[in-house]
Amino acid sequence: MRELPSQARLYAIVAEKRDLQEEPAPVRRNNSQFDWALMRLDNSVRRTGRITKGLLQKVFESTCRSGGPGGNQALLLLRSCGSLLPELSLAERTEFAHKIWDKLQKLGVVYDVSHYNALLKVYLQNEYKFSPTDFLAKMERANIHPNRILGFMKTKDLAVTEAVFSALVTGHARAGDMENAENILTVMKEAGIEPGPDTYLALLNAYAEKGDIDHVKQILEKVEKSDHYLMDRDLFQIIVTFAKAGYPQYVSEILEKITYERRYLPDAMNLILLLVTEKLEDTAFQILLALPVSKEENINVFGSFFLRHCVTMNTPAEKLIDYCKKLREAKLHNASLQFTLHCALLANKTALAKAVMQALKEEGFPIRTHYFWPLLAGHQKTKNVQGVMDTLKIMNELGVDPDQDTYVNYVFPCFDDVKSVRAALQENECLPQSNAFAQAEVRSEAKNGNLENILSKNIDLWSKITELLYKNGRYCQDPQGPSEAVGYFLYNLIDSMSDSEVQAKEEHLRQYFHQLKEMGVKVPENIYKGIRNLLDNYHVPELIKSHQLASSDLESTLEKLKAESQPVGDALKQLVLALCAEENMQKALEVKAKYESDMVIGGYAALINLCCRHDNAADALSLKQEFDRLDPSAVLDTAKYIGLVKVLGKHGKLQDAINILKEMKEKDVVIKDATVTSFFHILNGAALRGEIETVKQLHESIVTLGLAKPSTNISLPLVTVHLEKDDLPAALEASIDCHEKYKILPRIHDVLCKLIEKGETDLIQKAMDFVSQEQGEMTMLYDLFFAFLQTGNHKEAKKIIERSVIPRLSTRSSVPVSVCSCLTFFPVLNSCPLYLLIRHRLHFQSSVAHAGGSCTIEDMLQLTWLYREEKEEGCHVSLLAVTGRPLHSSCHALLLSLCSPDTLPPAWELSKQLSLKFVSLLFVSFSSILLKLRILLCASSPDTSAGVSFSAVPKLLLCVSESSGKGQRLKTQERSEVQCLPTSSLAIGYRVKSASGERCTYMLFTALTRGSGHGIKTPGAECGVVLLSSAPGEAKGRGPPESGGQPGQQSKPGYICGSELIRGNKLSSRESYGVSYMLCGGSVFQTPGMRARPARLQWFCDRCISGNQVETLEKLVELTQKLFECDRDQMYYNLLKLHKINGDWQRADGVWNKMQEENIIPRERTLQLLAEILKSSNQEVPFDVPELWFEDDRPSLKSSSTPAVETDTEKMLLNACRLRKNKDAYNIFLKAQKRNIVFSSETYSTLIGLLLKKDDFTQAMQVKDFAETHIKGFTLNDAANSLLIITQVRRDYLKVALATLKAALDLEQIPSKLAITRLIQAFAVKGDLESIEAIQSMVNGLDAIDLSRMVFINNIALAQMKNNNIDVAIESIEHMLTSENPTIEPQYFGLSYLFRKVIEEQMEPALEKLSIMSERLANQFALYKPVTDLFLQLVDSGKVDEARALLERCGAIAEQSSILLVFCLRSAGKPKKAPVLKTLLELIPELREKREAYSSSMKSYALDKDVTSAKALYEHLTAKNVELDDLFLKRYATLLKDVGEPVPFTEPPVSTLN
Amino acid sequence: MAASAAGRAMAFRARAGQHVAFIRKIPWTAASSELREHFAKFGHIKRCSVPFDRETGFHRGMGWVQFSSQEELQNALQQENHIIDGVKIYVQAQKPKVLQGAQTSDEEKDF
Repeated sequence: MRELPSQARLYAIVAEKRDLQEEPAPVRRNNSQFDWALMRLDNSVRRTGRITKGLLQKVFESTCRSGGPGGNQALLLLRSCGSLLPELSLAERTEFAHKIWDKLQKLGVVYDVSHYNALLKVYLQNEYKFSPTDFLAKMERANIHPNRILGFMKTKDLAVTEAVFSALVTGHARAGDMENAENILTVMKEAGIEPGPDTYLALLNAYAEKGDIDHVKQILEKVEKSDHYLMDRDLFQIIVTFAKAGYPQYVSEILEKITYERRYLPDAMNLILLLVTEKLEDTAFQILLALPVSKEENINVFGSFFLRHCVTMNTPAEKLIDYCKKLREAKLHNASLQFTLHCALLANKTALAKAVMQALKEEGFPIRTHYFWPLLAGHQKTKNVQGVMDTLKIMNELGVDPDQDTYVNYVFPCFDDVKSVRAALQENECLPQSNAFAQAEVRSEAKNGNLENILSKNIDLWSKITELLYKNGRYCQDPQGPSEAVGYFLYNLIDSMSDSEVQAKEEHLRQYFHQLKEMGVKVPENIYKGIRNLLDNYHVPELIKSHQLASSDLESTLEKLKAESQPVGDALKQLVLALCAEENMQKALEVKAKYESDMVIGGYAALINLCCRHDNAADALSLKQEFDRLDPSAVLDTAKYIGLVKVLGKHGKLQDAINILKEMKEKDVVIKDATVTSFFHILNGAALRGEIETVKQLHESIVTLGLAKPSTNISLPLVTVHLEKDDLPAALEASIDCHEKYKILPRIHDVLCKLIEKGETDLIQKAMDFVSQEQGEMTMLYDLFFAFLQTGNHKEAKKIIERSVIPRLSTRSSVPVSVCSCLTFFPVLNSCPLYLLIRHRLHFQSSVAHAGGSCTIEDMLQLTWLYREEKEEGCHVSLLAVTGRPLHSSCHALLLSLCSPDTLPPAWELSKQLSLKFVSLLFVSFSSILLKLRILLCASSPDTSAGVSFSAVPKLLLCVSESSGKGQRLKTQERSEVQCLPTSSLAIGYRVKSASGERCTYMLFTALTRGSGHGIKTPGAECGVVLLSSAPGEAKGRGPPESGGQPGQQSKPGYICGSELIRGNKLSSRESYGVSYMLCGGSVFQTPGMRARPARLQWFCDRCISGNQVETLEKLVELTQKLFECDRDQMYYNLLKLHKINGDWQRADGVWNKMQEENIIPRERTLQLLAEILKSSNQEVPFDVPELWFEDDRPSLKSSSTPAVETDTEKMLLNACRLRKNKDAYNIFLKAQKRNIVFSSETYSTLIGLLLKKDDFTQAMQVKDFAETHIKGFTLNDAANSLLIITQVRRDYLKVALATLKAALDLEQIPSKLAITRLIQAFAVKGDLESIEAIQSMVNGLDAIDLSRMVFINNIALAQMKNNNIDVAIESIEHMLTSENPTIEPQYFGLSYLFRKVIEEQMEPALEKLSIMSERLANQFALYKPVTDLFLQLVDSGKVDEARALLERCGAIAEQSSILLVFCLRSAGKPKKAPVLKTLLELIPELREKREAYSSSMKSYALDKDVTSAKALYEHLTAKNVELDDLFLKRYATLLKDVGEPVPFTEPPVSTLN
Repeated sequence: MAASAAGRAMAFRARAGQHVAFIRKIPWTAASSELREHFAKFGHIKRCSVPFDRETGFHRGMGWVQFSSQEELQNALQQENHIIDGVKIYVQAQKPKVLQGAQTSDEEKDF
């Protein structure tokens, strides 16, 4: 074992080397979560050389939260658990690493050898003692082969590295063999390797560990003389070794050697932290003092990190205080004690805090009251009264008197009332001499509204308190204060009273307010408003009036003051405010005019607002001007500015309004969300008034001033204003204009709807062109779709969604882009044709099963035409398959286009774009080809369709090639190939002809040729074959071109289907890919496929719901049925939401049926919603317990939570799994398998789980085999393994099932209880005792499975009985039950399963002996559980006579009511148990009056519709005057009604059944 | 309780523009009385507040000092370094945000 550590070290070295190589790769990964984690950890390491526990914890948690952590994240986290955590003890670090390891494994991270290496490295850094053999075994178990390590070790490189020798040095030293350790150096030299710093360091550490300072010094000298150089970091290591080995005395000698280079400061700090963690604070402190720090003036705080960590590590207080003093003396830290106290308070370490405060006091520093607050706050949180008292005592000891705040904020909240505080303080002798406590008492009571305690009903007392507050300067030192203090007193007083209290004391309060008024107490305006709001809330508005100063009073006061020539400013303001409050604008303006010279800013502000409210723009504006003159810098509050803008805008004072907006910007007025909403309302108001200019200019000002962002919302009025005037061109223009300015398209939906209503085809076209160009075709299609739906043009909506139903590869904008992105992402394309076909449930799937791999062009074409034929009705589909091969080293080029005379212009455009992209790749310019083609096509007009001879194709091809000027370069061989090509085209062409009737019109092709001219040697030629066919008017349901077509559609004659193939002669699965488009409506390039955009769909749903548009929503749901990736459940959920609002259960019921037709698995919430609707309309709910669905939903939830890059195929597979379409899912798997597409482990587990659930055992095993051979270390997850076991048991593959169980347990999985139980039971029936015992030992100690011991006891007994060892079994059971220390309490010793099995399997002798045993246990040991269980099993199996006999022999059974009642309750939950319960009640009549029994019986009778028994029971109970509950009666009543009998009592309400 | 805290904050906001200094980076060892003591040399202090977080028992390092006059506030602002308990604190004038007589929230809704 000795060499093991060093061997282990080698792994670490390997890991390190690997690190270096692999590090950059994961960084580049486009994985933001990973980048974030890496960045944070990396930053921390770079800055400080360490990672704090908190940071690592945070990164770890966020990694877990992210759902599917990647292997690279796991690696990053694991690696951080070693020496980068100096603040954690070694053991804690390893524990952390293990925590991360286990958690991530649970989250599905598959560990590979790099993770094991990282773990190993962490072990070594943390000096964690582990067994390398076990470690390797663990790796092997996980199917990880440390080949790379072993392989690496074998390489020559390893044999000669210094690292190996260093490891050997350490190894020898650890073994105590210093001589050999030293000798290694000689060996090294002999081997031609000069010992380097690492080797010396190993040796130094070895000596340091032994405390051999002499040798250490010798070696250090030796190193100094050599050309080697030990870094500070290395010396620090020696220090740690000395300190840890118990030789701190030598530390100083090493410290002398340290150069204290600045860059090693983080290392030094880490060393200090590590030493503190290791409880070697003295050494740590010694190093701290030795560190070179610039000692500037008197603001030094060096060493805080040390002090903080000492506090965390519970360094003894005396030591810590000593360090503090020394730090201060050394002028390193001028507030060391205060800092330590802060840390202690933060960590809530009372004892330490006390000690430090004592020290502070001794040093002459003040101890302040608030120092104790953190401690008190801590106790307060836990309501720790003793803690609070202790803290108060400490305060007492330290001579600190708690002040009012201390009592009110931190002490009182721990107690129920103030009285008990006083008592507790007295008891603890903490009641202070000062009157702080008494004052606090009053304050607290007032605050808590315990008026009766301090005030009882004595209004005078309230007044006195108020007066005191008002007049006594002690409470408020500044002259303006009193009114405020009183204000808050009142506010608090009222706020703390409940509304009933206020109402009850209304009279008191009125008197009180009256007295206050008498006393001349004034309350500031803002507080008064707060109080007013409170009283409003309490519904005592009368009180407000009583307190409000009437404006008339004020006016007279004002006049009086004026007459006396006293300053009137304040009174004037009061009056203006009062008049404003009374909404008396006229009067207010008069007053203002009268006392103009005395007006203050505040008065103006209120007046301006008043005028705005009263729509008085002129006065508002002039007041504003006066306001500005009075104080140009004065700022109004936001609401007042908004009021001004509104009123000015409304009255056509546009420029003034804009000036106000400018002022808002200049004066930096606060803009809140509500302000932005106000802007919208202003604009919208103007829009509704039809004021175009106002809307435009105000909007422009608001946005350009930056007062609000140009959001869609705020821009709506720009369009609204035109819509209101029905000026559609302007509305559209406004919306488009917004897009040009702000990249938003406000109200485009509404505009479109209107356009459709008015049939403005040209404008629709314009809108669509714009949207399509700016936001992509998909957006355009959605816009159009929603607009058609909204306007009731369902047919058109349908066309849009249906003709686009086949997904396109790229959802983005126009075709060229799609094609280009296809080229880049060919793996995605790989799965496409297949995908398509499956989506459409084509039955010729098999013919293209190999589509991805070896599909030939002919196959694809075949398929295309087959598809057309199959779907002639309404089919506008064809496949355009494009296969390609690399034309250039890095590019897959290809191309194709197809055209008819009608579509030539777009084709032309396309070709131009493509040739731009590919011009370097293709030396035949597409544009020139197409130019020629165009000429050719024009020549072959539809009329001469028949004349376009297929035989002309090769000639055309050659012609094109040659005329392009490059054709001459075609090799002879290639030409001949080109000439051969049309054979297949011809065949296809004829098919087309026959398929589409006689009027097969066009065909055309393009050819692509490549030559050797560009240095690409390609034997054989590649050519493209294009075949197009079209039959105008042929397709049903599509009108001829002159019919004009629908708005927004490019109604071109017929449709064109095209396909283009460019084919190389060496197609591999990777090189070939197919692209499928759906081409329809004759506009090849204008119809992308639609796929679900959940946000947009939801937007429209919400719109329908809020507008209560049932029909529209229904149509939407109907039309989106085939929309790719549409969340059907979500759609129906929305529909149900609307039905719920309308209480329309019939429609809701219809939804339920539709969902079934569509074969949708609803989510739980959908079912719950449906159930709610039905229930609230008193309808029967046609399905039960929604919880059942929950499990089904899980795989889909899981799959959605793993954002890993899933291919479309994988998504499809998971989708099929979610829908529980096992056949489909399996087929997808098969096809993927052929194409070597490998999914994630989780996907396979899900698929296998589904197959097993559906009992497709063989298929499940095939999937498993594939997964195992393609995913390293693939294992089924717990759930799938459990299902596998159950299936194997069902198929009677017991031994295999046992092996599965073993394998799962070896993987530390937790198989389900059910799976294990099933397996055990199966073995028991077989009498296979040995296997049961094997399982028992396997699961022994695995509490997580939660397997009852009775499972084993029952089944072992059963197995023994099966083997005719009845006596052994019985003896063993009896022994267990009667032993002095029973392992299982007799009341839990349930043998029902055994009894039932014995009865079922008709094992008469065993039954007899069991019966005897049970009776004996009852009679001799008073153990009634077995006999009662037996009795119940007899009843349950219909062996009534035996049961009765047993009962007669053992009357005590009847008294085991708890067992009997549990049986009743359980039986009532199952169907067809009415007879059993009936028998039971007959056998033991006294049970009938027990509530559980009669309720259960009634439930059962109702379930089985046993009216007679129900009636008998009811009559029996009423005869006995048993009070029956509603549930019982309701069940009975329902039963009676069902059979048409009268209900002899008032039927309880429905709610009881829920 | 919450209401009173909010009320106090509101009170200070209401008085904004009335010679209030906003203080940052107050050391944990100092509370309002230390602040008051320190700023007393610049003039008469009408109000001084350092709000504490009742959850933790610590303040958040911020506080407000209201002087009787603009001149006094300027005195305080003009001194370069303010040091309390050996720690430099940062003093600045409270930015006026809301006009005197600021309205309660119910008026905000009224546009």
